[in-house]
Parts: sequence; structure tokens; C-alpha cells
Amino acid sequence: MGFLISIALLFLMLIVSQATLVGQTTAEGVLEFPKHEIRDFRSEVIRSVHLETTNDIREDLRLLSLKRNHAVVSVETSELWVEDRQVTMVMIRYNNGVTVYEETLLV
Amino acid sequence: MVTIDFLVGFTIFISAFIIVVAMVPHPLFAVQSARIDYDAVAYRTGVILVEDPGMPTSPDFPAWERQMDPGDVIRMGLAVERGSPHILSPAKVDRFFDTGFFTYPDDYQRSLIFGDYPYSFHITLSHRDDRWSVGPAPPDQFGVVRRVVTVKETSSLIRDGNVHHEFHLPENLTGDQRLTIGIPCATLIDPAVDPLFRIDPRIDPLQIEVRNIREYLNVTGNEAVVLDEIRIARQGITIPFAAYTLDIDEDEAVSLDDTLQTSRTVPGNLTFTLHPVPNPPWRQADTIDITFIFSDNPDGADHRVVIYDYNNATIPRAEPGILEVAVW
Amino acid sequence: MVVQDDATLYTIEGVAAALLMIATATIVFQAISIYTPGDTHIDDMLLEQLGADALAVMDMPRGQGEKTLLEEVVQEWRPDIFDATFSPLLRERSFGAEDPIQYSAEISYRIGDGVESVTFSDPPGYVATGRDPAVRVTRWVQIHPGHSLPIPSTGRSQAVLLEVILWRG
Repeated sequence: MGFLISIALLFLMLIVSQATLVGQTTAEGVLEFPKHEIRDFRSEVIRSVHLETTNDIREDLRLLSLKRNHAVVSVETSELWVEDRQVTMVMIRYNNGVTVYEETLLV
Repeated sequence: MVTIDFLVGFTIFISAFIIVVAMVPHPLFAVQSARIDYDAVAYRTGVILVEDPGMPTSPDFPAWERQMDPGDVIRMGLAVERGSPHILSPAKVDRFFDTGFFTYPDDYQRSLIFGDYPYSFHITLSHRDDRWSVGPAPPDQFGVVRRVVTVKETSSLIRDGNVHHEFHLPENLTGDQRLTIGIPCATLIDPAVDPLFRIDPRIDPLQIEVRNIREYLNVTGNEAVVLDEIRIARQGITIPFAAYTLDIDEDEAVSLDDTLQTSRTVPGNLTFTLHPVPNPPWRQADTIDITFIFSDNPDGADHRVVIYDYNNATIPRAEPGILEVAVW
Repeated sequence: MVVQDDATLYTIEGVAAALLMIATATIVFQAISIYTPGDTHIDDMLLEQLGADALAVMDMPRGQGEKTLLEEVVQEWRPDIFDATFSPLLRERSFGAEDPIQYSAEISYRIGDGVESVTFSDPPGYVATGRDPAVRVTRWVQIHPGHSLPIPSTGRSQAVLLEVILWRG
């Protein structure tokens, strides 16, 4: 009986130890959400998609994000035909350790 | 010796006790602490005002500023549209700070502050030289948030008699004219245009100004320019639409939701503003035609069409403003 | 005596049951409360949001198809115009005196495989003590060939990062 009870107590202890961590990371994920950074990055990518030197600009964005913002970003584009217009499908990925953001848009 | 009935009884007792103890926090849930989060409530209110376009009860269109009843507004937000934060719509700003329409604090608490605790608040917007505010002055301890915003300006189409000469034809020397302003919604509602300068006839007011009308319509002598009728047509078919205002020489001739009943003389300038309505009759591909008839014989009058598009219409440069929300 | 043995056993049972109930109740209560870091970071978050807002509004186009104020100011290297526009947006307040926010701006750019930076605007009048908590806001700016920045010219359009550090002085 003591064995059963000690196993039950062990299980409850596991729950307690997780509770503190869950609260901390959930709240941190909300407080530290890089809303302005992501919005700014997204609008910069859209602005630079149609330029000629877009590959160089993408390398600028990648390296500066990594070294200065401590975020790993990746931008991929591909051309699509929708009805009779050509649109660019852009896939943006952003990861700064706490938040992971991914978006696909048509420009 | 541990007997089996002891074990069974003990297990049942402990399980029941754990269930009871687990139910204890539920009555404690209603205990709130309101004072620590003034800053958090202010921040949330600031985000709703600056980044959310708001929602009326019939969400065909986020144009809650044109609802007739304050109870029809679910959420008040001042942004122009969903994807453009920091750009405020002037119609929403005017309506939000209109304390004759919304009552402080009930309407604001229901559709902006949310929550059960009755927070008091003071919201101020300073833009250019204007300052709008709602709410009493805050006490010593309050939570405040400041947001920087920009207010979109109203677009206008200006026809000046000294500059534009559409009606100047040699045989045209009378006051019998018809001026039609064509508004192609499909050209104006273009997602490629920046939201700060986009003209959407469904949610933005449109302004048409005709200055120096005698020179514009090529009227000489002592003949007076008389505005007989204003016809508003959608896709070429005239519809009864009353949401407009007309100013003749800075005096209001026709007010909102009224129509031009009698002929009016126009000595110098004419300003016409078409206002958005909650359920606009225009669809995205429609063309709206506003015809000003300066003659009792419209079919015999000379007819000119001016298109209200991005080449002819202008939007002034937008200036930044500061929105402050204080909650206590 | 047998009765004494039973009594001891019952007592031990009672004590064990009581301890178990109390331990269970304590553990259950502790497992329900979730720890959230309270308002230790709210001030910093509000300051960061203010700076990011001000930069976002300065980065709006001045006319249809035109450049934004920030792009013009960086392209032509005018820290004085930047100061004249950015400072009032940060400082003006309706209740009470002006908010004493100081800032220092620099521009980071990519050169080859590395990243370098150059100071853009460092308004004088305040000596940093090193003890003021500061936040950092950034904004991407595009510059085009023919710019006046004191950085090596690459002959192509490039993206640079404008970083502004804000603190309450």
C-alpha cells in the first residue's frame, strides 16, 4: 500500500514541477511576442519582392536579422500563374527562439 | 495486519476527499484583483483603438460609425481596415469622440474596455491642432498608454474655373450644363494602393469641389448659375440616395440625409460630400455617377464627365497624432 | 494484549490518513496556481511599443507612390530632421510634463559577409550613467544607389537596419 501511495505522490509531484514552467513560458510567449518586428519585416519583404536586386536584399535581411535581431529568417519566392496574371508567392519564416512565425502570401 | 476491507474503505475515502478538495478553487475564482492591471487594461484598449477596425452587429462592413443606434456597435476600433494598424479613419474618430451619441461610461465600457470591473478612463487624441477627448481627468494613480497614430485625410476632386476648361466650347455660352462625376469603384479600390491613400467609396467620404463656377461653366453676362437637380446613379441607373451634404459658398444648402428639393443659385463655389452608409448599395465593380444638372432641360444641356480616380482626385499628406488612454 | 495492538494500528491508520489528506490537498492546491511573471516588464514593454509606433508612423509614405519620411531622411543622411520629427512623437504628453525619453540611433548594414554599424543620431545633453534600463526598437529601411550614408557604396539597393535605443533619462 505504501508503494502505491508513493507512486501516486510521485505522479502528483511531476504535475507540480511542470505547473511552474508552464506558467512562466506561456506568459513569456505573450509578453515577448515581437509584433512590431514581424510586421516591419513582412512589409519590408513585400516592398523588396519586385526589385531587381532582390536576392542581395534577402541576404541583407537574413544576415542583419541574425546578427542584430538574433532571429533566424528565411524568405522564399516562387512564381505562379493565377488566371491570367503572374503573381509571386512569398513564404516568410521567422524564429527568434521564443516565437516561431510563418506566413505565405501572394504579392 | 492490513485487511482487505481496510484497504477498500481507505481508498474510497481518499478518492472522495481528493475530488472534494479539487472542487474547492471554483468558488475562489470569482475573487478578482483589479488594481494591479490598469496598465494592462490601458494597453489592451490602446491596441483595440489603434489596430482594430471595429465591428458593428451586421458585419457586412466594418463601418460601425454609421450605425444609428449605439447598441449596434459590438466593438469600437478606429483603424481604417483590418491590415493597416496606426492609420485611423476620420469618420470613426469623429463618431468615437461624439459624447452626444455614445454615453460615457456605459457604451465605452461595453464595446471598448470589456470586462466586469467598471474601470474609468480618459482617452485623448491630438492631431495637428485638434484635440479630442472623452472622460474625466484622471486621479493620481492610473495606468496610461501612449500610441502614435496617423489620421487619414479625406480625398477631394477639385474643379477650378480658372484652371479647368472642360466646358469652354465656342458655342457654349449659356448656363445649361450637366456635370457628371464618374466614380469607378473598381479602379479606386485597388489593393496595390497604400491604405493611407486608398479611396474606398463604401467607407470613405468623397468630396467634390467646384470653384469659380461661372468661369468653369463658361457663363457670361448676368445669367445666374442655378443648380436644379442632383442625380446619383449606380451603373447608369438612378437610385434614391440621400446621404450627402451640399455647401454653396460655405453655407450649408443641403444637410445629411436630405435631398435637393428646390433649385439653388450658385454664386461662386459648390462643395458636395458623399457620405458612406452602413449598407452601401455600391459593389466593388460598380461605377457611381453623380450628375449636377444646371438646367431645367437636362437632355438639351451640354454634358461633361470627369472621372474621380487617382489622377484627378487628391488626398492631402497625413500628419502623425498621439492617442493616449488612461485607465483607473 | 490484542486490544492494544489493534488500537495502535488504528492510531497509526488515523495518523497516516490525516497526513495523506493534508499532503494531497497541499499538492493539489500548489498544482493549480500558475506562476506568471507579473508586471515587472510592463514599463519596458510600453516604452518599446511607443518607440516602435513612432518609427512605424514615420515609415508611412508621404504620398501615393512616394518614399517615406524615414527613407528620405536616411537616404540623404539628415539626422537633424529625424530628431525634429522623432523627439516630439516620443515626448509629448497630455497629463503632466513631457516624458523625458532619450534615445540614440545607429544604422547597421551588411558588408560582404559581415555586419557593421554607424551612428546616425546621438543627441547630446545627457550623460548615460549605465544604470538606466533601455529598450531597443528597430526598423528596416531601404536605401538606393546615390545615397549619402557614410558607408561603402555597393551600387545596388540594399536594406539597412535602423536601431534606436530608448531610455528614460
